[in-house]
Amino acid sequence: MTRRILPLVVMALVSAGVGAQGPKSIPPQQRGELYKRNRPVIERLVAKTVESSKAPNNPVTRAKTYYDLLLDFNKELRDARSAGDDARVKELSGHLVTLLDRGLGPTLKKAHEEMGGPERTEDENYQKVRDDLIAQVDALLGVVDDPGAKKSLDDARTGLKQRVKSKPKE
Amino acid sequence: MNCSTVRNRLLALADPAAVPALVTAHFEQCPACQGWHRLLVQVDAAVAAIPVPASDGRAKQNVLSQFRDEVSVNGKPVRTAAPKPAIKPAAPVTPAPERVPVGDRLARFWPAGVAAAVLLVGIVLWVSMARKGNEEQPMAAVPDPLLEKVIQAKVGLDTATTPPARLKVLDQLAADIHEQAQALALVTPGEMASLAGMYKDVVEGALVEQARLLGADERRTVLPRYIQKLFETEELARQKAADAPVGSDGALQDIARSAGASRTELAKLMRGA
Repeated sequence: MTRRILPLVVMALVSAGVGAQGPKSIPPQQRGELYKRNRPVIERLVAKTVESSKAPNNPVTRAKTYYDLLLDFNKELRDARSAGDDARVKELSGHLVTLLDRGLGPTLKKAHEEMGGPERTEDENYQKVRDDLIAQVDALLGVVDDPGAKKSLDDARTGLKQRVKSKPKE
Repeated sequence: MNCSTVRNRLLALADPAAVPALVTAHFEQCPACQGWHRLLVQVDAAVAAIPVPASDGRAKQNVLSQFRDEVSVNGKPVRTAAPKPAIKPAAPVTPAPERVPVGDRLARFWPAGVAAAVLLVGIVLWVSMARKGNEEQPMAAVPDPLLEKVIQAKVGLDTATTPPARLKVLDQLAADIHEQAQALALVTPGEMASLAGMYKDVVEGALVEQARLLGADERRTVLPRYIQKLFETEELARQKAADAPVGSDGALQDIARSAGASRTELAKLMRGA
């Protein structure tokens, strides 16, 4: 009896093992190719992360770091669209959504909260950062087709316009 | 079963009188084998009945001396009369419990054999197709894992509210860059300087600076694990550099140096220096 059941048990275990396998790892050669292609964006992201780490108490400076990132994404998305590389457009659009919704959005919110505080010395700086970011978001709205990315850009644009307080007139 | 098989099987039996059922069935159709079996039983009984001739023991001693060094203590072999074996009467042919041959027993499991063969073929096909799929997968369809990780690091750092939380993000980012360097060391030496530069910026330019913002108590509780991880990175990078091609070896040494320098700085901060 045991000998008859054993092959079935072994087959079931093998099937379970195969089914439980995680995502396939990318071979080093392919990782190298991916890195060559994404190197400028990755280097910029790391540089801007380091820059943000040096301004832990200054959300305006941290928000400013997104300007160059949005510029890079704008360029990369245009290139990918020109090349008809839909998979890359989709990948970059997904990352753009993450940057806007989970990075820039909360950073702007924090900046806005601090702008509403008693110290308003960074108002002018903030206005410039805001205008630059709005320009980049507008440029990206003309590039992306992905509905999710468009919504994130719209939200970011709305946030940039609403969250800022006008500088008090003297 | 043919006659030759039947006779071989009878010769292999310990007691030729106990005949398996399959052989008995053959006997019913084959008088020749039946007679042959009868003769075999008689020979078996006769051999057992042959009396052992009287001997002075010398012959036995000679035989035994071939197997052991000492035959007896006093050198005189004890002569014992061989017991006369009783003549075994020819037992009637009785069917023994059926002994199924190994081949027949294995043949019963043919469904399991078929299943195993199908499984094996399936695994081989699956592995080869997966390998082919990996090779043919266009680069554009594969998302870059490092790009995703640095995106996560960026948003993670901007939303972290405390120095320990920022340290955690920076430590993970440094680990991701080092892992990428380990993966690419043998295939793209030209890209290694970029990775080494980023690693240095993250650990020396950000992680150590972030550690300075910790309070004295926090330094003692938080920093040891980062010191340990930097030590491990330093060791791994040095080991990899030893086997890496020109171009990658220098970059890996740079990573090791950055990890070592940052580890030293963190240790100083922990001691309150």
